[in-house]
Amino acid sequence: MPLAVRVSYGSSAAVVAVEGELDLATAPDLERSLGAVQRDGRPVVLDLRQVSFMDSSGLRAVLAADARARASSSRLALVAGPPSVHRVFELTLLDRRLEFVDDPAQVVP
Amino acid sequence: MAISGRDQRAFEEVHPSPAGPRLPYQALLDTLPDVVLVADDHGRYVGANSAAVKLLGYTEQEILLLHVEDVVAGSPETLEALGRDLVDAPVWRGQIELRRKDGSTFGAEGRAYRVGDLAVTVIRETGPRIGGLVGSTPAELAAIVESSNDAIFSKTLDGILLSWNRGAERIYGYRAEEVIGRHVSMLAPPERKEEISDILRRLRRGEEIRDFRTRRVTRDGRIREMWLSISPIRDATGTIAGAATIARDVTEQARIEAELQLARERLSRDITELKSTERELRFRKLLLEAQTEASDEGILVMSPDGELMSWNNRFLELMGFTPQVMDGVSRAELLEMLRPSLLDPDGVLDRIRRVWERPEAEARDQIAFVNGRVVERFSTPLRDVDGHLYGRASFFRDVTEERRRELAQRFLAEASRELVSSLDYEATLERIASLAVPQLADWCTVDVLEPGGEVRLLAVAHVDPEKVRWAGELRKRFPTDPTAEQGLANVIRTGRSELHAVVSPQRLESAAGGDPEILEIFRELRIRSVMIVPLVARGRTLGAMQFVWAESGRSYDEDDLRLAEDVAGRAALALDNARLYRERDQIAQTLQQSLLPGALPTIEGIRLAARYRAAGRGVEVGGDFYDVFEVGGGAHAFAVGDVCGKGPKAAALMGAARHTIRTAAIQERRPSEVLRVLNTALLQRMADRWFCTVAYVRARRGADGVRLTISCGGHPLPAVLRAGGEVELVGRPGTLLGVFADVELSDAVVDLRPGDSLVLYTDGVTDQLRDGEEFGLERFAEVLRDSAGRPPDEIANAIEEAVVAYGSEEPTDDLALLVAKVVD
Repeated sequence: MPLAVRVSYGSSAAVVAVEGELDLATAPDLERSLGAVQRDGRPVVLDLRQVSFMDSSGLRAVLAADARARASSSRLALVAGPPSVHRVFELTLLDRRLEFVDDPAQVVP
Repeated sequence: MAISGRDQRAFEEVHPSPAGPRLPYQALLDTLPDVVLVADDHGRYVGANSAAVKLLGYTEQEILLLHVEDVVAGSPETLEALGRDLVDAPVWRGQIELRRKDGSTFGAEGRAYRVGDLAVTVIRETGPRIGGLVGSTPAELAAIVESSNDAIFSKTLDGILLSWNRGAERIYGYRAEEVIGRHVSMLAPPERKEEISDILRRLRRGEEIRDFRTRRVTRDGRIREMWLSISPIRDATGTIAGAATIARDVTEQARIEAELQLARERLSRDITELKSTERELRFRKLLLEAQTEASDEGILVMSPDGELMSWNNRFLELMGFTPQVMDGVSRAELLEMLRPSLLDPDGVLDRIRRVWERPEAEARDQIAFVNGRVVERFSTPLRDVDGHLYGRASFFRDVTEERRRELAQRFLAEASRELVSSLDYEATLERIASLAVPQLADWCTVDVLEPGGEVRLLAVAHVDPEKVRWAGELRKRFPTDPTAEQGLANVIRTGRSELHAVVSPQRLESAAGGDPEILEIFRELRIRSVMIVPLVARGRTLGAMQFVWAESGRSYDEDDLRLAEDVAGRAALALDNARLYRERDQIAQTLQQSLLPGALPTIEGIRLAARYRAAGRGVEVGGDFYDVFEVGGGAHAFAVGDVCGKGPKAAALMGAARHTIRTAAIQERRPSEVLRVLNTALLQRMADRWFCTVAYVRARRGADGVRLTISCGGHPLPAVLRAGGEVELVGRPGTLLGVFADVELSDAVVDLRPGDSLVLYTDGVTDQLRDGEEFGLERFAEVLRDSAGRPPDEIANAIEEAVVAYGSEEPTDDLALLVAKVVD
């Protein structure tokens, strides 16, 4: 199943909404999108609510985005996906390391 | 005024009609008080100035009808002497007598210059000649002397002034009483006092001093240019008693002469310049011609009405013409002569004619010749500075090399792109063969050497798909003879290219090997030119590529061969890379296998089973691993891990992780500490975005079972299958490893009773997808429950089978499983 990545620009942050499966095949797409959105150093909200599946490849994309945000003193926030997806963050304790928000609009610069 | 013969020629160049009625510098000559007459070498006057007109009483036109004899009085001997002098010496000076129109004569002081074929006579009226005075009465003499405009004075041989006429008063500014009785040297400027004594010496010797030019000083100190004529005066006994001087202020004349000299010099300079300009023009023309000839561009110039005006040799060379064919040929004929050598004659001729129809048009295009050469034509209207159209110039440049390079570059770029885009080398080589058609070949085939030594036709490309099939069948029916002296087999055997620029009928026959059927096919294929280049990579010949020109009628040369070799070299590398890739694939799997424990150790009271399955294709080996080892004190360690990523690097990291765990386990007892050491080691060696998850379990046998201490670094929590079928996840989540310096890791203790099993797994188990839905923990737990009471091997089998059966798609992740069951 292909991955759909939608990017919308709000007043304060860019929202990257992901829909579909995030695995070895599709994670590069997400990485590219995130890389492009982050290029100008703006805050990014990664909305995982529509992600049906995610494995460590997806995690790698998220970690890379987080590293970029830190490097540019910007910000990466995530909206948690369904429990099966969020479990990956819980198992790796990334749910404590990354910023999770309930609503994309919560992010202010 | 002295004009040399050389200058006169210069004159003639500037004034093409020197014998015309008007002299050069006529206006200037007209301002002279002196008579200027110019005669040709027959003695006929060809020019005169206004002073001559005035003095002689003729009109200018009349003078031009005269002969020297009409004007110069005196005996024919005089004239002859004059002529002789003129021939012998360029300048003649002397006294002559001229005859006016009314017949009267007058004495004159003349100078003649030889100027080429012309004699220029400059005459000044000198009044009565000294010689003429002899015999005149004293009264007459006195009257003449007094009335003369010239200074006339007499002096003793010692230089004492005796008489001083009015002319002398006027010229020198001294009145008679001021000078008479004084020494004549008073008239000389200080630097010429010597001259006076010299003159007096000469006079005493009886010498006459004529036409002496010098300088004298006037009463008011002005220095004047003087013309002097000094004659001794003899008394009745013939003894020299004194001397008479006629002096004339010629300052003005000198000035005019100086001006004339200046004008002459200027003229001479102008002429020199003119000549040098002309020389330069001629030089430039020569230079241009040389450049045109030396030019790498062919140049053809046509007049506005299409006449062929000029061309250089390079043009002939590029068009394949001999100089003779250009004789009297029209441009239309020229085009027709070109036709047979053109690849697309109608198209090219049409384009050229279209440009001719529009005289204002510029055009740039390329003309392809049958012999493979490509000539770029740039045609542009020619205009002079006023914008007047005076023709059309066409420049022809051989761009064969350029185009070849361009084509080659494009072909190589495309081929390279193909070569890296796919690992399916057969498809890739087919693509490359088709890229060569039709720019580089009508036919292109790729043959590879099979491991068994036979040559297999791997790719055929031709513009006509029908012929592609044909070629395949042909090869099947008539396999390549591996012992052939020439051709494909030879190239593969020797690794050396073959170029058959023009395939002769004889060669075709020998290539057909005497088989009339093959020969017929060859003939039908119209094979004209062939290149066969080996596919050599890393010193091994893997096959060969053939490039064939057939119906297009073109032929290959050494340059084409170089390109083909380049292409073949790259294709060979791709072919070899594919082979290496396959090998690397195997190596990676071997590596992974080798990194996993070969056989599980035997542990008292515990039965073990492990499964490992690499997902995906070939080289994309994953980084999953498991390990079991003794840690001392009767304890064992179980580890399952997953290095995020694929390929040899992941496999290598996995090996390193496993090794680190083993090493750390010797030092550290607590599983969380072991993982911490691993985390630090990974941080040091892992590149960005690489991470690792590990579940590490320390197991120690107790009195009634096994105590597990579990630590998870980002890994799915291990499962425990109780003897009764209950399934629980044990341990607590911890931070994944290799990303953060500070990690949260914990140790959880779980006791297993006999019949209980610990199941360690990677996410390849739970993440297996079917229609977007993962296998998940629920199904996993269910499989475990169903396996309760069974030996670990069967539990492992059940899990693997369930996962594989569940997946509708090929597994994308590796799978590693370790089952440890406590037995009595």
